[in-house]
Amino acid sequence: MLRFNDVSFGYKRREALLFSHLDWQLETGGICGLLGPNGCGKTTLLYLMTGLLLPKDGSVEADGRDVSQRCREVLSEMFIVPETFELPSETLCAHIKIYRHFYPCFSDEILLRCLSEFDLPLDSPLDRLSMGQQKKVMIAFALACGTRYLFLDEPTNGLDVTSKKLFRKVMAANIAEDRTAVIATHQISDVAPLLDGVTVLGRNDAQSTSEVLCSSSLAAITRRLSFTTETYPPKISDKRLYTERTPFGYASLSLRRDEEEETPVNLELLYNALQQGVRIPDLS
Amino acid sequence: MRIQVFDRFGQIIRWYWQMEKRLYLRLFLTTFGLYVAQEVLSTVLLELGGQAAQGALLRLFNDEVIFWGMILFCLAHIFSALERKHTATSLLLLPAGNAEKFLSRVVYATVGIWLLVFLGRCAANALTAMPLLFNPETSFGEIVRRHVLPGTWILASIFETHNVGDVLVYTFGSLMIALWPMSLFTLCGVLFRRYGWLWALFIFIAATFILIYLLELNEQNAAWINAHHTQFVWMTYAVVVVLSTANYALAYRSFCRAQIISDKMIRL
Repeated sequence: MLRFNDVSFGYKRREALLFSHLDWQLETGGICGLLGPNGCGKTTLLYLMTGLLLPKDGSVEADGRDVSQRCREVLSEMFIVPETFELPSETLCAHIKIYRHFYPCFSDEILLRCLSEFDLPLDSPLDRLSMGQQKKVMIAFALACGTRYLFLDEPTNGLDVTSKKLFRKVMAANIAEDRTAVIATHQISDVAPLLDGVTVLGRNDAQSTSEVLCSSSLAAITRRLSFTTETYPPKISDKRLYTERTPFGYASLSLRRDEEEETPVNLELLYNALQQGVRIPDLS
Repeated sequence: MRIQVFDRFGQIIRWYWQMEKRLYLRLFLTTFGLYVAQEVLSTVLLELGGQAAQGALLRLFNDEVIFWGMILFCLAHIFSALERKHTATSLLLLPAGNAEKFLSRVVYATVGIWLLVFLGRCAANALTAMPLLFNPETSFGEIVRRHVLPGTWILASIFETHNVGDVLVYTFGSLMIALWPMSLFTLCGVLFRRYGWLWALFIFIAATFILIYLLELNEQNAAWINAHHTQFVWMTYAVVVVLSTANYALAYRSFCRAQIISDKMIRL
């Protein structure tokens, strides 16, 4: 489990904090989407989770261990695919030779499977690959490392439509149930079919900080909320939390009654509702 | 367990090599270039201005200045990987303990740089000794021993005139003198986010002037030193060890607190 205990963090000493007294936890297992508008701290949260940034106050724990200590046992269970990176001028084979010793659960089988899905060679120099190919190599390598926690920052940036589809396929097929993947993105539709849970960040204008607006599994969201689309504007009703116009009519978000059927989660609608100030009890 | 620790050390060193082999090639070429430049300049000045001009050059731009300049400059860049976001991410997230990463880096940077500077010097010597190959009176082995491998014939002559104990004491003393500047440059290389070498150089020069004043210009101190030479040497070694340990400890702490992004001038 990843846990933020009363974490405060800011980049500059004299400027306002980005996160203030943040308490948040992420259960182990599944793929969690970390969503939020630009500049609200998605990447910062990933870096805090991995110990690349250190909180000013509070602590971040992975399975009960303080990640800011950067001890070997914790680091060997974490892998991050940053939004931008540079790969060395060596082949993937050489790269694997160096790194595999550091990851006890490294799997050649998963690596080869992912590379074959992405149609990537093992023997071409990594720095000569295109940006999209480099990203695919990193994702394949990250999955092969078999770490307990995998963090991906905007993984679909730089991927074409076919590659995005392949990315979802590869992720779904190669993440074991006891592993946790956190995908930080603002492109919700790219990753929505993959997600088991979602954490939405937003700005708290009163305090000028970012906060977690919602953190829940999709199963819990389905039980709690009802997502409907109607052709005509809906009548004003107490149970409707948020409505927005779409090309197909009016999409609404409401609290689900026990007798109502469950509806598929419309993540974009939920995200927009949360950013517009709608607060849903029991989901944060 | 011990085998695992050594194995991991080896893996980390391999990792550093993989990450920075281009940098090491550049360092080798720089050392080579500096020694060749020194050789060429001193020959030209000897021809143009005689021994006085050559001597003036060699007082400023001699073997020791190049050797220590390169070593200290490289130590000040010991954690240059932390200066760039993607290399810092790779280094900080490499699954090894902070102590393992730090120690292997210090050992690798120290031994590796000594070796690189030595090889750079040998390569420069080999280049300047090329004309000797056409001299039938000089054997190839003699050229390598006397002209390519720096200092080997000096070492041989030292062993001829001194016993091993004296040589060991001298070597120990030299290492002690080198320890503090090396630790200082390492500390500044880790502590300061930018221009670590400049800070280290400034502190080093300031400390040297203070030391010279305390030891030489103050007559009372000078007299005491002359009277208690052995005690003074051991006291100096003790102070050097304490200060160097403090420098390395602070450097380690600062490495442990390093982050990929920070607006602070120092990493603490």
